[in-house]
Amino acid sequence: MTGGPLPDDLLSAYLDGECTPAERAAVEARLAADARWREELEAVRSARDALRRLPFREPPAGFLADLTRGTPGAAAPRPRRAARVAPSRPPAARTALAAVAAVAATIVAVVAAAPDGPGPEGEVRPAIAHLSRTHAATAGLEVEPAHLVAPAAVPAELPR
Amino acid sequence: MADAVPTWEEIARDHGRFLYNVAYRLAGNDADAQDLVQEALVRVRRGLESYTPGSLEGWLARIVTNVFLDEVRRRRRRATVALPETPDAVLPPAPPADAPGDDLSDEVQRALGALPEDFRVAVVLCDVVGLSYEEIAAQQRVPVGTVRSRIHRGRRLLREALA
Repeated sequence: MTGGPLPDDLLSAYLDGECTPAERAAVEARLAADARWREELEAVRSARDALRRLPFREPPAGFLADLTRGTPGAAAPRPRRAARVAPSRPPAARTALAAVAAVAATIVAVVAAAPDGPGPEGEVRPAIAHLSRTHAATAGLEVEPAHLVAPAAVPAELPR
Repeated sequence: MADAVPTWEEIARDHGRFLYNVAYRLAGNDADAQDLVQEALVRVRRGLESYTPGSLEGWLARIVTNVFLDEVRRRRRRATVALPETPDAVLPPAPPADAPGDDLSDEVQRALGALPEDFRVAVVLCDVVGLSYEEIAAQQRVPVGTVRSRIHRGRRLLREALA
């Protein structure tokens, strides 16, 4: 579609009502005189109609609900499909945290349950060192998961 | 009375389907469309404070389109080694539709997915979203004449692919 100063992209603008009055008049004059422009206009109209007839594409069931469920006020989209969610704390750190929590919880429990009650001011009975040794001997982390020993002392849900 | 600024939840609930439809037409497959919607909603949340009530769907279309173009650029950078034989093909051609549609729609979607991204964005914003040339130009930060050219060339390529 050459042979004149009019750019052919005016045809789409013409179809869409996006021409100035002067452009519109020029296009109509060209269409009246040039069969190739008329063919081009119909081709572009056909493509435009095909696009406009595309059906509304619905998201998969549950997709939008998943994005918003359960987080009112601060809803966070789920992680991207391809993304791997890095643990916020490495497993070794989680184990260490749980072990420390277990020791602390055991000490507190034993002191609170001591039959003699608190000793003289400044003295702790049984001695902390004794408690630590006892716990180390009886609550080995290898065989007794720390999070089972003191579930209340660790976060309710550790990040994975 | 001025329109109230919607909450993020309202946008996700009331306009999520719109976002997905635009994302699907740009990306051409469900998995990429879902990713685009997710990222778009992240940006919506960040941008809500500065949102001025107006054409909400125009604003959302701009966001999801920018997410798409950012993803195209990201994949193009990664594809320079992996896919040297198709330097111009990023995201297109779209894989087969995930859910069965009618054959004509699938064919149009495939042809749409094969368009260069700039043309695809222009025709989607014009013929799927229904924005004016001026709105598209403002959104894409290009002259109106560029929009006109992209739309026309996109439609012509589409027509050739469907012929």
